[in-house]
Order: sequence, then C-alpha cells, then structure tokens
Amino acid sequence: MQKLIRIEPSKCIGCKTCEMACSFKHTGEFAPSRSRIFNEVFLDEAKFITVTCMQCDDPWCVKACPKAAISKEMPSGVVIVDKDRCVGCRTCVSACPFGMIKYVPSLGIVDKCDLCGGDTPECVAFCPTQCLTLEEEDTPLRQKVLRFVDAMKEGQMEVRK
Amino acid sequence: MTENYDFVIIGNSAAGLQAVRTLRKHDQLATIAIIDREDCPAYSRVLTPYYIGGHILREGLDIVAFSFYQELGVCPVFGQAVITIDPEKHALELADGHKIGFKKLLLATGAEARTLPIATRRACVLRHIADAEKLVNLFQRMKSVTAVGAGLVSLPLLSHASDQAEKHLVVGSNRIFSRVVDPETSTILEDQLTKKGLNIHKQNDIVEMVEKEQLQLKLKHGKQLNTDLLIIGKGVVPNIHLAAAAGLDVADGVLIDENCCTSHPDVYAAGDAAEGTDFITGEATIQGNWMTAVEQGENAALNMLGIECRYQGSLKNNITEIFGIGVAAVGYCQEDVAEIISSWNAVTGRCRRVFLDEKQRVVGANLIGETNDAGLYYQLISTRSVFPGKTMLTGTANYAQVQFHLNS
Amino acid sequence: MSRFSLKGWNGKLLRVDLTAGTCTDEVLNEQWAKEYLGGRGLGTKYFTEEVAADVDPFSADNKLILAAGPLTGTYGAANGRYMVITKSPLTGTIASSNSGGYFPCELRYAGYDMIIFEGKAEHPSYLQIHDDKVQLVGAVHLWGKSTKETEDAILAEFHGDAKVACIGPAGENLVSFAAIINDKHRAAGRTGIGAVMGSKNLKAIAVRGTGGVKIADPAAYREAALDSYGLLKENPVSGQGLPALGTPVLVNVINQLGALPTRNFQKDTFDEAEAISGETLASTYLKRNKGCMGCIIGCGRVTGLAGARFSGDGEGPEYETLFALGSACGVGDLAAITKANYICNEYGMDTITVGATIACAMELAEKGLISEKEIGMPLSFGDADAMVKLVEMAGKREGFGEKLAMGSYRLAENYGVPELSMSVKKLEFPAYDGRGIQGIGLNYATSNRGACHVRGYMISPEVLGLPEKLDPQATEDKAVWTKIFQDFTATVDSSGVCLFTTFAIGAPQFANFLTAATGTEFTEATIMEIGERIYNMERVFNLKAGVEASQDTLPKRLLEEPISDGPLKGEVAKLGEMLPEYYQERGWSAEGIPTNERLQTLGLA
Repeated sequence: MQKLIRIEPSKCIGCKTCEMACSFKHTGEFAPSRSRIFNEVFLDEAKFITVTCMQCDDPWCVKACPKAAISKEMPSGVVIVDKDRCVGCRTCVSACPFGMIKYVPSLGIVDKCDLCGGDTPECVAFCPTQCLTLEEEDTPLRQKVLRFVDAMKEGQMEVRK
Repeated sequence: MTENYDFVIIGNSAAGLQAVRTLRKHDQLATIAIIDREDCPAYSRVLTPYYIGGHILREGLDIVAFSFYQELGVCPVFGQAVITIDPEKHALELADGHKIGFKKLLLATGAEARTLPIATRRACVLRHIADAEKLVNLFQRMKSVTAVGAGLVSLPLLSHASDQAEKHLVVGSNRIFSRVVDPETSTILEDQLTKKGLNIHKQNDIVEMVEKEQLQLKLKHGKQLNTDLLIIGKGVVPNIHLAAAAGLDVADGVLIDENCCTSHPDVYAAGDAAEGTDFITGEATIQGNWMTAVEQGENAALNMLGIECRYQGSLKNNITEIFGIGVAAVGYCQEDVAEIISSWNAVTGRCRRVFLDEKQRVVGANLIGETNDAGLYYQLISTRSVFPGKTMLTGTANYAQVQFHLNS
Repeated sequence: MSRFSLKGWNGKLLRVDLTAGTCTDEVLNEQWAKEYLGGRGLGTKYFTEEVAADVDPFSADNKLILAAGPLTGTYGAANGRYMVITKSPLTGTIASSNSGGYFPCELRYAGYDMIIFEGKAEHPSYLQIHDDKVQLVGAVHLWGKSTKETEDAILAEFHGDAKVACIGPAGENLVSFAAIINDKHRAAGRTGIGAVMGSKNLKAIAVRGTGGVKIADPAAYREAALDSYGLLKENPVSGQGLPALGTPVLVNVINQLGALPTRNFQKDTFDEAEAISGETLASTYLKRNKGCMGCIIGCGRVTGLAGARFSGDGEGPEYETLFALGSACGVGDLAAITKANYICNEYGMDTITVGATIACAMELAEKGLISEKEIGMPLSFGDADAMVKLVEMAGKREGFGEKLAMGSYRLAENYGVPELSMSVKKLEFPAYDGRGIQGIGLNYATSNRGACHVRGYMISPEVLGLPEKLDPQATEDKAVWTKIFQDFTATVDSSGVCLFTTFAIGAPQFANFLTAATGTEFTEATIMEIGERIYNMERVFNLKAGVEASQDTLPKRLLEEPISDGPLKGEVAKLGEMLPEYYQERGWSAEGIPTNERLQTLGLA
C-alpha cells in the first residue's frame, strides 16, 4: 500500500528541522529554501502548518508536463521527476494547486518530494516531536490532505472543475 | 475500404495526447486512432525555444516514443493530412484516399503561426518542428536578431539567442506581453529587459525589408535595423478549415460547449483550435496555452466516453523565463478589474500583481522573478477564492498560507 | 584578500558603515575563526581588535556586531542562536547578548557569519539583506513603531520570508537596558545592546537568505546529530522538563529550594509562586510550545491574554521574567506579568533589568526614600497594575520612566543607596539567590557582563544535578566548577548552539559537531581552551575599560544580610571563601588580573 507523510500540526513546534533535514539530505547543505517540505510559521496566530507533496492519485504536474518527465510510480505511488528529461519549463509549477513542485534556478529543473526514495524520509527521521510520521495511506488521510482543495471550494458559488 | 474506430483524434499534441490517455484509462477495449500530418511521435511545441537555443537535443523534444502508442493500444496514423470530415456519416478521408470511420471524433488540430507576406530565408515563424530546425541553423550564425511581436514566441526565443548577438524587438503595441500582463507589469519587464541588452521598439512596425548581406528592416518610425534573423511572432490562426467545411459552427475557432462538444454531438474539439468559454470573462475565447489544451483534451475525452463532465471555462496560464527572469501570467490580468494589489521589490526583482474582482476574489495574477506560486494562483482563480492575504505577495507562497488564511 | 578555506562557516562578514552608508563584504579571518569560533568569541575578537576599550557606548566609535556561529542554521541540537557584541551602556563592560529564533539562521543562509555596524546613520535606517544584495534604506516611517509593527511593515515592503531583528521605542529612546528583538518575540535581552543600536539610528536588520550552510563531512555530521538527539531526548531537563513546561518549570523548583528572590531579595520564598508557576501558565495562557529554528527542545511558550484587564499575545513569560516582574516585585498576578512581558517585547526591553529596577523602586518607596509624587503613583510591592504601568513608562522614558530607564544601580545611587540595587557591575541579578546557591553567587560576581546566570549556569550542578549533583550550600570546588562552566559556555555561545543543550551534551559532542562541520579538528581540550581564551579576552577588555577586579563582588545584602525566610533562612553568600581559589584556577593574580603567562598560553599576549 502507498505510504505518505502524515502531519500532526498540534505536535509541531515550528523548528523547521524538517526543512533542514530535507535540504541537507538532498543538497548536502543546510538550505531550507531548497527543502521539499515546508514548515510555515505564523507567529501572531501561533499556527504552524507543514505541507509537502501529497503524491496525488491523478497528479496535476504529471498531466501538465509537456515532456512526460514526471510520472507516478507504482506500487509506491511516489510522483517522480525524471531529472534527465526535465528542461525546467515550469508548466508543472503553474499546474500544481499546492505549490509543491518548484523550479530550482541552480539546477535549471524542477524539484519535489520523492519520499526519499523508499527510505524513511529524512524529515520524518529528524522531526523532534513526531509531528511527522510515515504512514500507510488510508482513505481518511487522503481525504484530509486533499481537504485544502475542498476548503477552497466551500463557500464558493462556482467551482471550475 | 474504411477502417473503423470507436474514437478518432486528429492532432498529436497536448490536447490529443491527453485525450488518448484519458480514453484508454477509462476504456480498455475501445479502438482508438490518432492522426497527425507530421510523421513523428508527439513532440513538445512549448520546448522548441530550448531546442533552438541549444539547451536540449532534438530527441529532447519528444514527449513520447512510437512505442507509447503501441503500449496504449492506439493506432497512430502519422504523416497523413485529413482532407474532409463527414460528421453525419461518421467518417473522414485522408490525403492518400484512405477513409476512417469513427463513433466519436476529437478535433485537436491546433493552430498555425501567423506570418508576414514576405519571402526571405532569413525570416521565420515558430510552430512546427520544421520551423525549429530552420531556426537552429539561423541561430548558429547570427550576430543580430530581430523579433516582431512581443509575445510568448518572440521573447523566449530572443532570450535563448547568444549573449553576444544584438537583439531587437519590434512591437506594434505600446507595451510588451500586452495580451497576458497589465501595463504596470509590462513596464517593469521592459525596464529589466532593456537592462539586459534588449532594444525594444514600441508602437512600431516593419514597413520595408531589403535582403542584402543582412536583412535591412526599415521601421515605421524611420529607424533602420540590419539583422541576420527576423523572428515572426504575430500570434496564431486556429486550424478550422476542416471543421468549417464539415459544416460545424466556427468563429475564430471551432465553437465548443461546456462539454467541449462542437455543434455536432459526436464531434468534439479541444486545444488551440477550439473556441470555448473563458472562465473569468465568460466570453468565447481561444486561450492558446498548453494547460488549457490538456484540460480540454481530458474533458472532451470523458464526454466522448459518456462520462458527463462540464468544463467551466479556460484560463490563461503562461509561465516562462525570458532573459533569465521568471514570468508567469495566470487568469485575467488587465487593468479594468475592481482592484489590483501588488508588490514590487527592485532589490529582489520580485513582482506580484494580483487582480481581484468586486468580491475580492482572485481573477488573475502576474508574477515576475521567482514564480513558484503560479499554480497556487491558478488554483485560487479556478476556485474563485478570495485573496488569502497580503503576506502571499512578498513571500514564497504555498498552500500552507492559503490553508491558514482560509481557515482563520 | 585571503580566502577562507573551511566549511561550516560561510567565511564572510558584512561591514556596514552607517556614517558613510556603505556595505562591504569581507573574508572572515580564518585564524581567528579557528581560535574563537564565531558568535560571542569571534564577535568579541573583532570588537576588541577594532574598538578602544574606553569608547563611549553611545558614540559613533562604538561598534555593534551581530554574530552567528559555525553551527548556526544546522540541525543536531538547538542551533538557531546568535550573539550581539558591543560595549554596554548599562555596565560599561563588554556586552554580548544571545538570542535564538529564525533570524540567526537566515543570516547564515544569506551567506554571512557576522555583521559589523560602525559609525552612526544620519537618519533612521534599516538594513535589507537578500543574499548578496545588501542595502541600507530609510526607516523614518518605522521609527517609533513597536517591534511587532516594525517586523510586519518590513515583511510587507521587503520580503514576506525575511527574518527581522529590530529595536522598539526603548532602543530608540536609549533606555539603558533596551533589547534587540528578533522574530517578534525573541530577545537578545541583556546589557542594553538595543540602546547602542538606537544610538546608531539603526532600526532593524531584515534578512532573506536562499543559500545553504556547507558541511565538511555530511555523513559524520548526521551521525553526530543523531547521537546528540538521543542524549537530548533522554535527559530529564532537555527531554522532559523544558519541553513540557518551558523555563517556568523552575518557579516551583527554586521556590521550594528557598532561593527564589522575592521583594528585591528581601525574601527568598514567594507565597504566590504557584500562581506564577510553569504549571499554572500551562493551564491558563499557554497556546502552544515553540522552538527556535533547528531546536529539538522547544522551550518557547506561545501565550495569549484575552481578559478584561490585560489582552494581547506573544511569547513568554520565561522563568527569569516570572521572577523579575513577579516575585521580585511581589507580584503574583500571572496575567499582569505576561502583559508586562509583551510590553517588554514590543518596546524592546530586557525583562530582568526592568523588573528588577521596578522592584528596586518598590523598595525605595517602601523605605520612604522616594515619594509617591515623584513616581506619579502610589507604589508598593505586590502592585501588579503599577508594575505594568511602570514597564511601559520605562520603555517610553515617560515621567518616572526616565529614572527607571537608567537601570536599578543608577536609580538607587540617585537616592543615595546603591546597595539597594540587586546587581553586579550594574547588571541586575536573574532569578537565583547567590546566598542559597553558592556557586551561582561566585559566577555572578565574576561574570564578564555582570550578574548573569547564562555565563556559567551553576544551577545545573547545584540544583538540577547535571552533570552531577553538588551541594548548593557548600563552597568547596565551586571555583573549579564555575570556571569550567564559564569557559564551556563561552564556547557554546560561540558555536551558534543554545546553552540549554548542555544539560545533555558536553565538550565531546561539541567537538564532534565542530570537526564534522568545519573539517578542522576540535577536541574536548580545544573546546575548553577556546572558551577560556574567550573568557580571558573579555576580562582583559573589561579591565582596560575601567571595570576593575574590585567589582567582582556581590551587593551587601547578599554578603551580609542572611536569607530571612524559608528553607535557606540564615544563609549568606560566602564569596570570600571562593574568589581567591577562582582567581587561582584561572591563573590570574590574587588581585584578579590575568597573568601575562596565562595570556600567552592562550595566545592573547
């Protein structure tokens, strides 16, 4: 069964260790701007929200890619960018409703979470409060992570798709 | 003799490809054929400037290989133009006289580049692979390049030209990118591009052209430019002649309803040839971008399968890099909206202009600099969301901000 | 200019000449980086090389240095710290003040290890850093704004992801204990560094960094981090006490011990301690726990007040604040303390000094040495509303606030009773009475910036039993321990790591981290030597600045007046039994002067 990073916001302390761990593993440097997971801290409201790619079932980025450089691998369900095929046109960037696939100028291509390719994701390994865990996907979890789209739709009179 | 298929698609680019993928995903048994004039597997038109600029090889343009069609069980009919379509008889005829029958047909016939009435080997449009090959050659030797028309063909191409080449841009309008960005954004971009060495000639046109060792262009305002290459970026003309001849309703493009269906119930259209409703204005529009083609291709396919699915309109969605500067334009980005909120930072080169309607809902966004939040704006516009908050303007945005603002 | 070859550090500092309005990159001195690391050590090295010890803290010749360490912005412990170094207007000593959050890390991601501000801007200005694009911009529109308002305005006009360190009105008004606040709620609090920043017309520093910190041996660094994580998690203080209740966990602990200074040190147990304890905070105003960037502990307390009397939100109060604005003032009203804490953060003030100064004023009033008319209101211990009001007046320098803004020593001196200021070298005590806990008393007396607990946190062995339990009342061995704690702390403060990690990790772990990060070898011995070098460098500066060894003492109240209540009733600080041994341990003369021989050993002479 597909696994996903489960995020329990109440446990988050806003330390951004996930961003540090992610960038350190994937770039060899501590560079949160290069992280594929985002720990957003809203100081005034005392809210910490962590987001990363949710490896969609029917990924917008995959559909958008004008070079078929992005694919959803099975059975892991991980959405992978083929670094050799990507040319950095960013069509996927303009398609992902979550902003979770990003163009990296220094690489000239896009970059996204790949759940660390089968290992325990580094963000999960280093999260000091177990706010992040790697869990088998279940329907409620998938519904939860996709609630964003619905949350945006709720209260709107018109829905595009 | 007629070959019969359940589904036939004319056109092997964004809309056509997405359609065959969608059809096969939902129907393992249906017979499907895809027809295209060009005799090659699908290649990416949006990437041709990268090829011309030498950033990728010709193979790098391929979206899929021949094997893709085989694996999907789709019959490729490539290198064949369609001559006529008879919707009533559910049949079409190819240039070589072959006839193909269909239950449902998708017209994903695309568009052709609008050209100038000139005959010189030094001028070129960019639409097909043949154009790209020609430009690859011209690019290698040029010391000076001029583009006419300031849109999404000219500027990316100019920016892929070598740094040493002298670069000119001739624009009829009083600003660049006038179709996709607002005047303020144009100004900011023009300023940055000028600093990067681009010579912009606005409210101007080429009135005379003499081919000598170089191409001598005389501009409306009197200036003469000597150039090795003239890039013609004057927009595109949808391929509608087949549809028109078949008696389908056409305007600028093939008219489609909210199911991407033409005036005939068994014929659908998608992509650059289709004229459907714009999500924001509600007016019939040919959006002419990759994402719209993908969306319409998928939508048409679902409806062809009998899966009722309404497409509520297309959205402008362009993202590119010109002269090293990221630029994205999403949705409706003109000055006549109820409110524009913006931020511009000369140090970071980051500009955000967000266009709101009278209910504070996002209808469009122009982004300059880092453009990684383009998809987020696309989503906000698609869902007619109110603007989540000004912090999105100056910082890197992702859906954490949206989630936060919409839940609080 | 020479190149910087090591990893860990960025190898680059930014020099900002406020007078000329110029910003220049400089290669970091590699030799100094090895000898002093970064943060407190390296910042002080640059400071003492460039600034005369007798400089007037508010003159353009004083410099203000913001320095991160080679581990700032990495993971492994709690690596979100930086230090501010200058000459203190409050104490006249070297000032170095520590803070954590996101700002220190962002500075490193922008490519800098340190910023040196020199001169004085003609008009209010602030610094914008976006990676290598740096500029000074006008801040007239921000002048007078609170730290919160300032940060919000900068995020809106500069970059939404920028991290901001700034001063509030207190720094602008040259309040002698003004702080620099980063990330809205975190304070480089002590010794009045915010006033120096204000004197330079510098309102804020805003940084956006998109680069990364390079590590010499990533695999070894990751291993070191996992090892440290284990130790921090298993430790009762860093793994349980601090995460669960934050620093306020100490209110009940220290009160039960009988060393919670109350009513300006006239008592040492506080009847209302429970009401201001970490446990009470957790069940009342606490919204959530928070960590600085890269922190595994998460001792920060995000709180909110929504009462009729007091409202607002922010972070804190910390333990020291609960003492200074609470027990020291006899105030047991947690909402009032929390509110006063918010005011301190928004005005940019040190909660300890402002609280202790108000406590001092309360005693002056109690003793009839100061009139109600002069204060502008009746004032007595336990008056929560007056305390809150006075905190704000101090920040504004309004009315009696003008006097409070001088700090407790000058206030008490003003009324002829300097001995009523509970301070050393004019810096007010934190929340542990040196009469009940002898080692911390020695540390207060000898700390290079005055009475400070985080220069040598002897509470760790004497109260918490880490790394081993010492008898708080005993004086034996306290000199040795104090020196070790002071030296090790100097290294920790120079690395970019939070002092709170040292409950669980020691010199071996720091040696591992620094070796893996920088690619140059550090051992337990070099870790301690670096600390001692820094400590002696600071001492030499202070002596040159005219802060004599005779000031290595404690107020008469601690030396002569026994504790009047509680379990430790009758105790006094036995400084005389420890100080000579301490000087000896340090290799200083009997008069407290570092010997040439010792300085040479340390490479300081």
